[in-house]
Amino acid sequence: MSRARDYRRRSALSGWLLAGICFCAVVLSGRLHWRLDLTAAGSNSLDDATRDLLGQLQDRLQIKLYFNRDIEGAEHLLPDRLRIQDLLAEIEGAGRGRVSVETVDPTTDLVAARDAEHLGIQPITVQDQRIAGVSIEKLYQGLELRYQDRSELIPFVVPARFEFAFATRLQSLLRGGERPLLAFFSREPMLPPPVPGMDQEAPPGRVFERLREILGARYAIRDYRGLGPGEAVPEEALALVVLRPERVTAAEVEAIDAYLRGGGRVVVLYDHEEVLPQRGFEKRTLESGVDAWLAGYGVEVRREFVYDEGGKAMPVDVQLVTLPDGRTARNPIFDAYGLYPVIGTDGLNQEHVVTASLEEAEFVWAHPVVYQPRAGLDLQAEVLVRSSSRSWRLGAATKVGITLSNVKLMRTLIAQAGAPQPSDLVLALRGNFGEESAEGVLVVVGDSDLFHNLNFDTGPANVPFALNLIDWLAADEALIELRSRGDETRRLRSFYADSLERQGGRGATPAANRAIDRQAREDQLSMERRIAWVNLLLPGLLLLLAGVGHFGYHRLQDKRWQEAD
Amino acid sequence: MKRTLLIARREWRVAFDSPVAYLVLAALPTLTAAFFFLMGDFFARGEASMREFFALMPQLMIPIVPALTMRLWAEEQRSGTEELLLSYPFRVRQLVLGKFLGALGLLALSLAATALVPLTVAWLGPLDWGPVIGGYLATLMLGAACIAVGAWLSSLTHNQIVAWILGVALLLCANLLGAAATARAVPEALGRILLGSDLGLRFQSMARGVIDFGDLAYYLGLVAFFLCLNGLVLERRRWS
Repeated sequence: MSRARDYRRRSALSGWLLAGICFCAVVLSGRLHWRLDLTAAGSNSLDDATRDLLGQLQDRLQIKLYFNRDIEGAEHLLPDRLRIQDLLAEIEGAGRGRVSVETVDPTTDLVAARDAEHLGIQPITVQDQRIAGVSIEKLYQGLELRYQDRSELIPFVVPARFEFAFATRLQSLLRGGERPLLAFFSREPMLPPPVPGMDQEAPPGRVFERLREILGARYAIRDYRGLGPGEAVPEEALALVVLRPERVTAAEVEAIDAYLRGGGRVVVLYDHEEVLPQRGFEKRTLESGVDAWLAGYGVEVRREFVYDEGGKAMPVDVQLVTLPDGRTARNPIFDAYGLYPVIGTDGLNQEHVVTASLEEAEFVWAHPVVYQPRAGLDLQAEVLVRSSSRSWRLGAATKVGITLSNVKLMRTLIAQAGAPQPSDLVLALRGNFGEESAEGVLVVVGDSDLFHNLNFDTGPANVPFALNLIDWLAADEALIELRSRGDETRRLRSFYADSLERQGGRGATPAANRAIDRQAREDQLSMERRIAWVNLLLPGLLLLLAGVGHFGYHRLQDKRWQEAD
Repeated sequence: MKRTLLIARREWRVAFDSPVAYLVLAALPTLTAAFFFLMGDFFARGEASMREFFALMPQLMIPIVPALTMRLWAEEQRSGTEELLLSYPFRVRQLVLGKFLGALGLLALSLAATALVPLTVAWLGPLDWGPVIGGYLATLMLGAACIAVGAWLSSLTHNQIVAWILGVALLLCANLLGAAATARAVPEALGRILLGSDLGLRFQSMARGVIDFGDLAYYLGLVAFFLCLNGLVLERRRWS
């Protein structure tokens, strides 16, 4: 009887203990926000720039997250959504009581749905492919920030870009909602006057419109087609971007120079010609009108083209292929086009905030920028981008057509040109550009086509370069670092490159190149297979050997005991 | 503690006297390497990261851990040694904890055998060791929770296969709680609880390299809960 009572008592105690453990585990796991970020760059924690911005809050910041809870069919997005919520919890903590986060579901909450529609938070559609067929799910993932009487919006939160998007919106809210001014000077046609309720289409000649659109997300862009005594660059402009200068008059040069001497920051995207691909790559020569002005500061943009052996692969020819059904198909043949230099980390200044976080930049018909310090001027020069060690200069008369014959012709010219001649492509000068002038910055880029609508955001390389450059000039260095957070890719060593090096680099003829390429691919595949199989078999084999040794030892001992018996 | 370690040591000895333990131990490094290097796109991505490696762990734990724990109590019951064990001057908590530590040690050994993978990745590129440490800690915590569940289920039956099937089914459910929590049919309050209880989602947070003390508390709570359940089952059997 006493044993049964004892058991009942113990069971009751254990029951209470279990309930206590459950309660503590659930409460602690929900309440504890102590976290330890083990990543090398602390990439899962808030950056100091974001913390600084949160520290500047004078009033309450309300964050409303438009998330639909039901994501059936898109469950793979759940970890990313939890990551956003995790970061928001950290933001709430860093806000020290001045940040509140609220989550609403527009699919079940009619008020939230109306608000989302009013704000412009649109659901994105996700295809759910299951056995029953394909269904389309709507997914809300937007965020609204409210501070004082202003609000900012992130229509769709992308986890990898969330912190940068949040910090820029917060910065804008703290500035009172006014976007800093950026002046653009070019000969492009101006936009027509806006008509309420109608989308504004840019005229075809506005070839840097994509650059304006992307920078316009953070800056107020003001266009200037002419400058002079009556229309000076406003002092409050963070920077002046001179886009492909053409026939710039003396009065305009004076206005630019006055802005620079007044402590302004000027970027000149320089080109000696406009290439017209639709007219068989015909070149139209541009007379910039700023050569003498640049020369006054020791800068010259040379007329030659920069040719880089590792140019971007472009379709240089077409191969006709007969398909099994008798039809013919046109297959493009790609080859490295040397006049589109792709500058990797070896050519990007790793000490400079603009280029340190970039992986590459793609230039298009670029020209060398040469600097000779001028006596009497105290300017600090920094090269931001330089062509690779396997680059040369080709004369201004070089044909720029993207054709197989031209590519071959350029290779022949390079073979005769002798030793490679790396060139500076982007140069930054900082200092006093005259007596009694404030410290200004002048950046000269020996190419404007890299920011042309056709090239600007077609690849991943040039948008971050443009944004970093403008943010640096706008003295938003902290945000540059924030933008590139989590972007650093830790690349594996390339067995393909190792094999190429072992074979002595690329060959002289296309046939030799193909053979070298085939060999390098075989070497790469063989090495990868070897690594995979060693990892697959070695631990298992070692454990198997340990097992055999263990059983062998015991069998031996058993035998000895039997013999002893 | 001495007696607990005595039981753990006995577990190790018994486990290594059977070839099954070697097979189970070899399964984890072999399967992870096969999925990561051969079937995955590690080389195609060209990135020195172990993210995909650790992403496999919650799924791999589902069949492997019940295989480690299925015999913990079921075998004792089947062979009749459980009564003998319960008659020894050990407390139930020492027996439960000893068996748990024995199984956890085996899992840790199996995890240690996968160390060749991060070493290879570090040789191939600049590996960030933070998420690797976080990933191994997360796997160990997840494994500990799964072992506690498996040990409890093993104490409920004398058939090892039944214990394994029950373990797989329960762990599978525990890994699908997060997905279930997002379904429209589930009430919001219940959804929040289910989301917080998903074994795999908490694991992913740690495997990113973020050690959240809330996640640690959750896993430790889960371990304590199921070990207590295990103890209750044995206590009832000792007194019946």
